[in-house]
Amino acid sequence: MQYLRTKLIIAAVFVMFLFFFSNDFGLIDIEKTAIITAIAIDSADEEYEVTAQIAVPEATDANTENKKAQVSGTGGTIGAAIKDIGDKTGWFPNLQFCNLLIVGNDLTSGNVFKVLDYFSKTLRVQDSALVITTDGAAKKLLEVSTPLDNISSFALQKILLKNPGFDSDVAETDIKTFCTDYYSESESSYMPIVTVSEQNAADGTGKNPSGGSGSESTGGQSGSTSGSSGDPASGNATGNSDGTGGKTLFNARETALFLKGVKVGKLNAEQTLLLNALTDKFRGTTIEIKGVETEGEKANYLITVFRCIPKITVKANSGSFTVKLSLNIYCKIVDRNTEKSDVTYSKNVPLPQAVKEKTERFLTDRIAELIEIERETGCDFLFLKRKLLQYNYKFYPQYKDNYLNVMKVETDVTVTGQK
Amino acid sequence: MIKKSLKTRQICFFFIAFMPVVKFFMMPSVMANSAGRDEWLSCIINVLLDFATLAALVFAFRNVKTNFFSLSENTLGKVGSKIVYALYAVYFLMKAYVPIAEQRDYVELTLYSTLPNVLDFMPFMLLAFYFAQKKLRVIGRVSDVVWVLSASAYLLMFSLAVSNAEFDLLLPVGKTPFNKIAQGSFYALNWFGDAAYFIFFVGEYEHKKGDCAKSVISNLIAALSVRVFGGIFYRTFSSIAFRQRYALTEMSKYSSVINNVGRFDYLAIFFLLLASAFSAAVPLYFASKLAVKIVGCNSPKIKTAVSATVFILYTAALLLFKEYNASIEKFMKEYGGYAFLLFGNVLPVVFAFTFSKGATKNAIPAH
Amino acid sequence: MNFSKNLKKNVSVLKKMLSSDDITFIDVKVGNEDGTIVFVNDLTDKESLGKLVLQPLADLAESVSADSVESAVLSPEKERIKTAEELAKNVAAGSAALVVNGLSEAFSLGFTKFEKRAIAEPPTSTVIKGPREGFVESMPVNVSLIRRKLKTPDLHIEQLKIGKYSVTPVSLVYVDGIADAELVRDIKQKLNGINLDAVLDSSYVAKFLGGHKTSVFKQVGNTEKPDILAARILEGRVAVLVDGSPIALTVPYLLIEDFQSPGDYYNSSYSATLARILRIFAVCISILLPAFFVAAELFHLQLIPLAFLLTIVNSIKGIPLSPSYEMFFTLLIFEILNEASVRMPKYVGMVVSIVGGLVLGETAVTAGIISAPALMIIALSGICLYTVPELEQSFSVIRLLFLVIGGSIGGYGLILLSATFIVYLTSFENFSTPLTAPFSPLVPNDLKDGIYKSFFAEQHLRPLSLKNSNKVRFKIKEKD
Repeated sequence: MQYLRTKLIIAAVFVMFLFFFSNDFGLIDIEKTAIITAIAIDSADEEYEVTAQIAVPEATDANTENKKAQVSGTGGTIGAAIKDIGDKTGWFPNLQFCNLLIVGNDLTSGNVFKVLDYFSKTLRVQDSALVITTDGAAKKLLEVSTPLDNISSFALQKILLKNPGFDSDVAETDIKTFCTDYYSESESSYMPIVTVSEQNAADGTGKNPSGGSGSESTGGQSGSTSGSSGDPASGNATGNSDGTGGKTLFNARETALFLKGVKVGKLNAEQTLLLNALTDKFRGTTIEIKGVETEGEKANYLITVFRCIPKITVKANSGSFTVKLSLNIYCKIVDRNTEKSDVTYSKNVPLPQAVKEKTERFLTDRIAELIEIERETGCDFLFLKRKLLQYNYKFYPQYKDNYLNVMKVETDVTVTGQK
Repeated sequence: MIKKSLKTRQICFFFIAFMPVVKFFMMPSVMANSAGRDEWLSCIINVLLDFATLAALVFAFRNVKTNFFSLSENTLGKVGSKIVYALYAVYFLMKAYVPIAEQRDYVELTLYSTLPNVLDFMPFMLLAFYFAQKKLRVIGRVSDVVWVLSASAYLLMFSLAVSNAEFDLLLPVGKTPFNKIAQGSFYALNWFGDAAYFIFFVGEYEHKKGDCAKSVISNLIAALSVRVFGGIFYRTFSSIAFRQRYALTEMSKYSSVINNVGRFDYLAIFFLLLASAFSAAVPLYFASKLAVKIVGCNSPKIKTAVSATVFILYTAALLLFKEYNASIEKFMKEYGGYAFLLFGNVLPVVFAFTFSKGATKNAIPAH
Repeated sequence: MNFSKNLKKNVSVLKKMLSSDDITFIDVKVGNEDGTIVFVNDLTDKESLGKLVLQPLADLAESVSADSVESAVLSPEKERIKTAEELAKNVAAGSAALVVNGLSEAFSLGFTKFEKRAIAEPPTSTVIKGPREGFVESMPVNVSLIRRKLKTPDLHIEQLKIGKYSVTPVSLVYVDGIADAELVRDIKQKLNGINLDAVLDSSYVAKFLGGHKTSVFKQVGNTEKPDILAARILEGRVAVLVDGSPIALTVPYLLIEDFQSPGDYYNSSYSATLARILRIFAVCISILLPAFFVAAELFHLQLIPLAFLLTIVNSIKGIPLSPSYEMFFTLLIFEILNEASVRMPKYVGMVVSIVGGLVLGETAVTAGIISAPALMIIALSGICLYTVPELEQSFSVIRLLFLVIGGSIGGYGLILLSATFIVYLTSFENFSTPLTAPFSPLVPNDLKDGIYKSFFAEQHLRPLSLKNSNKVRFKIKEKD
C-alpha cells in the first residue's frame, strides 16, 4: 500500500511537471491579452460598433496616441462586437479592468439597457464600471489626447470619480446602479453627459454650446447664482489637443435622463448639483453666490458645504399624495469679492443673512426645476414611485400611474452658516 | 495528549466554517428570483427548519453514547441498516451535486478566461477523495482551522459590501405572495438540510452539559451569517438580484474600495473557496463512508477501493452530465426539494427519536 | 568467549580481536602476578591510567584476587567483564582493559579521553538575549550542560547503544514525573528497533522516531541549546541525545515549535508575539508568493492592480521565457546559489553570494533573460523562508510544489493544494500527538504559548497537547 502510494505520488508529480512545462493547455497569459480600460459603443447601421481602449499592450507607452491604442469591432450584439475585436487583433479581450462605458448619442434614442445588459450579465466586467454618454460618437471621446493622462479613459475617470474635497457636480452612475434603477418601480435612470470642446488658449473660453455651466437646460436658470464651474476639479478637465494650440475640455456636469432606457431629457449643471444634494453626495461642494448686497456693497461669495442632510419623504392617503423635499445645508464662507473695496473677508465670519437667503432661494428654485423636469419627462430620477411603494404600499395601486400629476410638492431648504 | 474523538467545539466550528459558505454562490439569486424583496423570509423559513431539526436531534441524542451505525444496526438490523445507508449515500451524492457544479462554474467563469474542463474540478475530486480516506476526527480538526479563515473572509466581504447596501430596499415587508416565498424556500432546500450531518457525529463526541445549546447556537450563527450575507446582497442589487448568478463575486467586486485599491477581495474569495471546497467535499465524505459500510469490510485496501469506486463513478457522472448541467440544476431546484426535505429534515428526526429509544447509555463506545 | 585463568591465552584472544595498530598492550605487575593493560592509544587518558591504576596495582601486596584488584584500582568507572567480546567492545569505545593472570574476569576501566570542541553558541539558533552555550559532539558534555540547567534527581538519563559498528551511545533524557511513562516506553521501543551499521548523527535516529516515512515535514523536534532542551523536557517531552551529534532530538514534535525562537522567551511577550506573527506571515509569503504571482500572470490578471500590471508588462517585454518558466528558473538559480554558498569554503562563499546574488541577478535582468519583478519575488521568498530556518528544507520543497501547481492549474489549484495540506497536517500524528496542535485540534490552554506568547505567570499548566503525567507547572495563589 505504502509502495503504491509512493508510486502514485511520483506519477502525480510527473503529470504536474508535464502540465507546468508544456504550458500548452489554453492559458492566455499576460502577453496575449488585451487589457481594455474603456469601451465606447456606437451604432453602425443595424449593428453595434464597439471601440475598446487598450492599455496593454499598446497604451502603456507614454508616447502612444490614444487613437493607436483603440480597436473597433462590430456585431449584432455587444458580445459579438467584442469578440470581433479579439478576432481582428489576435488578442484576448480582457474586460476585468474596464472601468468606463461610453454610450454614443445615437444609441440613447433607443433603449440603452439593451446595450448595458451584456455588461450587467457578464462576470468579466465589474459592475462598478462607470457609464456615461456623450453628445456625439462615443469613440470620439476616447480619441481625445489630454495631458492629464496618456490614456484618455483614465483622464475621464478622474473627472467622474472625484475624491472627497472636490465638488460633487457629476451625477455619476455605474452599470449596477443604472440597471437596478432601470428595473426598479420607477424605471428611471440617469448618466452623465460628457462633452469635449476646444478651449481657446488665449481667451480661455469654451466653444461647446452644451459645455460648462449656464448652458441650455430643460429647466430655468438663476443667472446670478451658480454651482462652481470652470476649474478642472469641478467637472471640467483641460488639456492640450493635438496641434491646435488650444486645449481640449471635458465637461461632465450635465446629466442625461432615461425612462425605460430611453433618453427623455437632461439636467443642466446646477440641476445636476441639486440632484447630487438630494441623493446625499454633496459634502465638500462649493456654491458661488453672486451679487449679494451686504454691508452696503455688492459682493460675490463662495461658500462650501461641509454637511448636507437631504430627505425625501412621500406621504399618501386616499385623497392626496404629498412629496416633501427637505435639504439642510451647513456651510461656511470660503471666499468673498466686492466690486469696490479691496477688503475681502475675515476667516470664520458668520454667514450673512442675505447670503443665506439667496442660497436658500437658489436651492429652492433648483428643486422646483427638478420636480418640473420629472413631470415633463416622466423620468422619476428622485425615485418617488419606489418610495411610494416602500412607505405607502397601501396606496401604491392608486397612485402608481398618475403620481407625477397628482403629487403636491413641499420644499424645505435651510441653510445654516458657521456661527 | 489529545483524545481521539470529536469535541463539541469542533462540531460548532463545523457548522460555522462549512455550512454557510455554499449558500453564498447561487442561492441568494435563486431565492430573489422567486420571492423578490421578501427573499429573506424564504431564507428564514429554511433556517428555522434546519434549526428545529438540529435542536430535535441534539435533544433526542443527548444521552446516547453509541454512534449512528451501531444505533441503526441495533434498531433496524443489518439489512435494514444497509438500505438506510444506501439511501443516504445516494442522498449525499445528490446533495453534493449543486455545490460542486456551482463551484465549478464559478471557478471557470470568474477565475479563469479559458481552461480545459478536466483540469478545473478534477483536482477538487482528488482532494475530496483524499479527505474521504480520513477518520471523522479530521473533519473536526479541519473545522478548527477553516473556521478562522471562513470567519475572517465573511467579515472582509461584509465590510466591503455593507456600505453599498440600501436598507430601505427591504420595504415593503411581506407583501410578496406567500406561495412565492414558499417557492423560494423550496427551491433553496438544495443548500439546506445540514442538520442531517449531526446524526453522524452522534456518539463520536464527548457529551457535556451545555453541548446542546452550543451546537444549536453555532447553527444559528451560521444561519445568521447566511442571512446577513443574503440581506446585504439583496440590498445592494435589489431589482437585479435575481440576475446575479454568483452573489459572492458580485458583492465584493462592486465595492468602491476595490476600485481604488485593487481586487484584494480575492483574498476573501480564496478563503471562502477553500472552505467551500471542504463544504462540497463533506457530503461526498459521508457518501463514501456509507458505501464502505454497505460493503462492510474492515480491510483498509478494500475500504479504499470502495471509496475510489464511488469517486470514480461520481466524477464520470459529473463529466458525462456536464452538458446537462442547466437541466439538472433546474430539476434539483424544482423537484429535488422533496428529497432534501425528507432526508435532510424528516428522516433524521424520525431516526433520532426511534434510535435513541433503544440506545442504552453505556452501549458499545464509538470508534 | 569466556576468559580463562591463563593470561597468555586471554591476551592472545584479545590480540586477535583487537589487531589494529593503534591498540596498545602493556604488560604490568599486579602484586605478584602478571597482568596486561589494553587500550586505544588516542582515546585513553594515559596519565590518569598510570596514577590511578598502574601504581596502586604495583603496590598491591596481598594475594591477588578479583576483589583486591577491583578495590586497588582507583578508577571511578570500573566493571568486571567475563567475555573477551565484551571487553573488546569496551576497549574499542575508549575504555582501558586490565587482564590479570589467575583471574577468570577482566576489568574495563573508564579512562576515555579525546579531543572535543569547546562549547560555543550554535550557529543555527543565535540569540541577542539569553544563554549562548550550545551542545557539542560529546555526550558527557551535553549531559553535563543539561544537568546544570536541571539540578533535580528526577532528571533521568537512560543510555542505549545503537549501531552495529558505531555502537553509538544514545541517551533518553526526561524528567520523571512529568514525562509520560508510555511515551518513554514507545521511544525506547523505537530506538531499540533501529538496526543500522552506524549512527553518525542524531538525524539518523530522527528518521526512525518519525511515524511517516515519506513525509516532507519534520516529525521530530531538535535543538542545539541546553536551555531550550530543558524547557522542552519540562513540558513533558523526551529528549534523545546521540553521541557525536550536537543536535538533540525532542519528541513529540509540534509544528509551532519551530516558529518559536529561543529568543522569544527572553524578550517581552509583545515583541515575541509580534515576531511569531511575522515569522508565520513570512513563511506564507515565501511559499505562496511565487506561486500566486505566476498564477496571476497566467490566469488571473485581475488579481494584480492595474498600475502594477502595467509595470509588469513593461518589465516582461522581450523576455524569452513564459511567466512560469521564468519563475521556475529563477527559483532554480536561487536554490543553486543557496546550495553553493552553504557548501563552499567560507571566504569563497562570500564571493559567490556577491557574484551570484548581485552580479548575476542584475545582469540577468539587464540582459532581458528574467524580469525584475520575478527576481524580486524570488529574493523576497528566499529571505522570508529563513525567518524559520528549521523548516527551510521542508518549505523549499513545498514552495516548488506550489509553484508548479500555480503555473499549471492557477489559483484554484493553489486553493485545493492548500486544502490538501490542511487535511494532511491536521491528520498527522506522531506519538499520539497531532502535529498542528494547539490549533488543530484547538487546545485553548496551549494557545498561551502558540502564536501569542503570554507571560510566564499565566502559563500555570504544562502544554495539554503533549502527553505528560503532571499537568500543573505551578499552582495559582489565591488572592486574599
